[in-house]
Amino acid sequence: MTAIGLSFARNARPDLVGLGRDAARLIAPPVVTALLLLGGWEALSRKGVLSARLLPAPSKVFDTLIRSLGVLLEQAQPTFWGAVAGIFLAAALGIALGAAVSYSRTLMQAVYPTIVFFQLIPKVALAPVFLLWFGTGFGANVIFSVFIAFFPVVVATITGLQAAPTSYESLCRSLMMSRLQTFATVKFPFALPHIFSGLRIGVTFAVIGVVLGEFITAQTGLGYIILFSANNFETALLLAAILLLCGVGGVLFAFFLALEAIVMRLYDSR
Amino acid sequence: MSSAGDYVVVDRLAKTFNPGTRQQVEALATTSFSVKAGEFVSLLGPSGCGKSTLLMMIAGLDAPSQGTINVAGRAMTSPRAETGVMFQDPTLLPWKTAIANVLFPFEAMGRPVRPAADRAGALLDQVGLGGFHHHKPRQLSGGMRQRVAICRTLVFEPDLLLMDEPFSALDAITRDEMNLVLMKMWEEHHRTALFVTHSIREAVYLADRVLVMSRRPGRIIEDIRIPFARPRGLEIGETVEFNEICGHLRGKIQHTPH
Amino acid sequence: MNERLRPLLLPTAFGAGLLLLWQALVVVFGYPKVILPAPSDVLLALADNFAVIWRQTVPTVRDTLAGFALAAIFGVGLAALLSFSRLLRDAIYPLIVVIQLVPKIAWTPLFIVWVGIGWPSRLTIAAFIGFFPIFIAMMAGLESTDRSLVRLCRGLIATPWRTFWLVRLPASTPYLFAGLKIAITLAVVGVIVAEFISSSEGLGFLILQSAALLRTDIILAAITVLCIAGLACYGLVHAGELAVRKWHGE
Repeated sequence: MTAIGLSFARNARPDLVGLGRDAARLIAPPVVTALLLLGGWEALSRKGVLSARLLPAPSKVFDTLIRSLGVLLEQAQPTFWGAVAGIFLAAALGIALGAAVSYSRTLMQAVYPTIVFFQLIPKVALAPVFLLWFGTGFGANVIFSVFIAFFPVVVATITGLQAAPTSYESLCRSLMMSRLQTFATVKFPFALPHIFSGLRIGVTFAVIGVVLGEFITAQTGLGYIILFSANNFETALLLAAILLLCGVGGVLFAFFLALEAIVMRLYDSR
Repeated sequence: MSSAGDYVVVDRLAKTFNPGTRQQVEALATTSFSVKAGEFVSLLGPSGCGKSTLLMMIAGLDAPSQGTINVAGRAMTSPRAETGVMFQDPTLLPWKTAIANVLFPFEAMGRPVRPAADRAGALLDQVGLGGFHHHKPRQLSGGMRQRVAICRTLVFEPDLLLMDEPFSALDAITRDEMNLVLMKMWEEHHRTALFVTHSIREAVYLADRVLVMSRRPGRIIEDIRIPFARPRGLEIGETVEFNEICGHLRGKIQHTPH
Repeated sequence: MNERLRPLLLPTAFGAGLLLLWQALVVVFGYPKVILPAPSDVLLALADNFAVIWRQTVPTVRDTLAGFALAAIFGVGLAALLSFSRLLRDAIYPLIVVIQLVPKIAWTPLFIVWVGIGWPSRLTIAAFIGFFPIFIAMMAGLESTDRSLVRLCRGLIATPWRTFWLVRLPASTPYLFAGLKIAITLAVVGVIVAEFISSSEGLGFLILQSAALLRTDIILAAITVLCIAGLACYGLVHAGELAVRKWHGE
């Protein structure tokens, strides 16, 4: 009786046990490995095998993180908001330019190679030029961040707008739809996955841009803290700052992931 | 019931995929048969009847849920070097030339390649690829690639040939050509062979014996001898006797219960 | 206009147009050279200071290529190692994916603390940044080897090593090169950033020094040379990719 009941229950409900087992199998190995590595690091540090100056123990890093949390959070503000401003401006400008360039084939053939060229060159090398042009303030960091994050968004937008199969465009033409209508109802939705992929890359670049700006101007922000602690061999503070920077990047990244989920649900392009 | 001269013995074999879960599929119901040394047996059945699964198990590439398989007197639990397997996909390494592909089994088994180079070349000539030894797969048509695959299967002189619908992906004309090529190669050494197909005409043309399988879960529902003498030309396909046999087999397949 | 020439002429015309516009803006509006030197100024600066610029190009390119080579060795090596053991792969691969979420530039000062300023840190940061795209690309390549090829090897009782060496490794070369192209581009970035933070040689150092001296024309000249060097390195990898594709039988 019990066996029949159990098998009935198993068939009636989703296989939670199986799901749980799969999730565990995915998460357990890396988590266990990470814990083992942290444990080993801590143990080696306590034994004095690892130089406390070069690589302080995780406990010390955590300690420093808690003690300096106020300062770190305060310095995280310009970095975070700089990256936010950077990616949002880059997104707006990038999508707009991408859409504009995709409008005509002639424009595309003329302009796209130049965009790819800028994509390939090491844009970070231009940071000192931006310094000369815009000074050393928060605004300058944002502008540089926009410059770096802008190009992946443009390239992704252009690629995305070419992603709609031509049969859809033919359909729109046969229905006498205007170019704007075609763009809004067909081309843009098909482009969205590519655009979001470009935005994710852009977020990383925006953070890099802000941090690099802070490295060079060395006045505020997490980049400044990282540089400062390196110069003073305050490695624990350095690692704590990097950890916080992960958080900044992570929050932005998660925001765009969530945004993508919402937008894709809206367009239901699954 | 096995007897002397049986080369392959399949005893009460069954296979269920994902047992105990909701995706459980009974692919093969209890099946038993044997193949004598030097026999060419066709395994015929509709799609999904489990014939490929059966072949994979005889090849040692999949494990049965139940039952045993014996090849040359020894139980099959893992792949066997002396068995040659051919698939629907020629599975040639795209970065190697035709002759390098034919010699690949030696590399894979860690055996010296040089001694077999002449045999590989001779095999390619025999299947009509004389000027193509150094062509790469992308330069060859589908039929030519399968011919290379035939050579690769035969080059290390297997004692058992297992073929899983090797010509199903080819067009009808090429398929007839390939049947002729296979027959020509097989008749040199009369190796024991098991050939899976869903083409009734192909099954009858190639084999000494045809085993018919029912729909899933598959089991053997017919086992008939093919009376034609060898060597066989393609013209026997037009004889009344050939078509009667095909009709008989078609009836068997169509009227199997689900 | 001829269809075949269009894709070549249009962008060239556009690029030339931008340069002319730039030159015209500076000449007509008289921007100070500190803010925006004209293309002609940049070319002049390049000619005048070529020896200096070249001398600083050498360490930058050298460290980029060396860092790239190290990244390739470690990236391919670790991916190959992980491909042999399911357990190792499940344990380590996710950790690496998580680590690479940190903006790797931010690690530069840490590396400077660990290995000191100068070429050791430049090499390390270039290798570190280049490692991730190569590793991830190689993993993707090894994982996605055609299942029928792997089954063929099983049927031929090939050992795991031979399956890797004869089949899975050659099959992943297209993926590998995609990763190598990304890595070489990033390696240049890494070296430049390291030079910005603390260095006494290299094009990054030269750029920073010129910024302090308000010589924007030299900065742009140095950047031009950097772009050419970067594109040359990328071109090398791309040429390698084309050769491999041909061998691979595309």
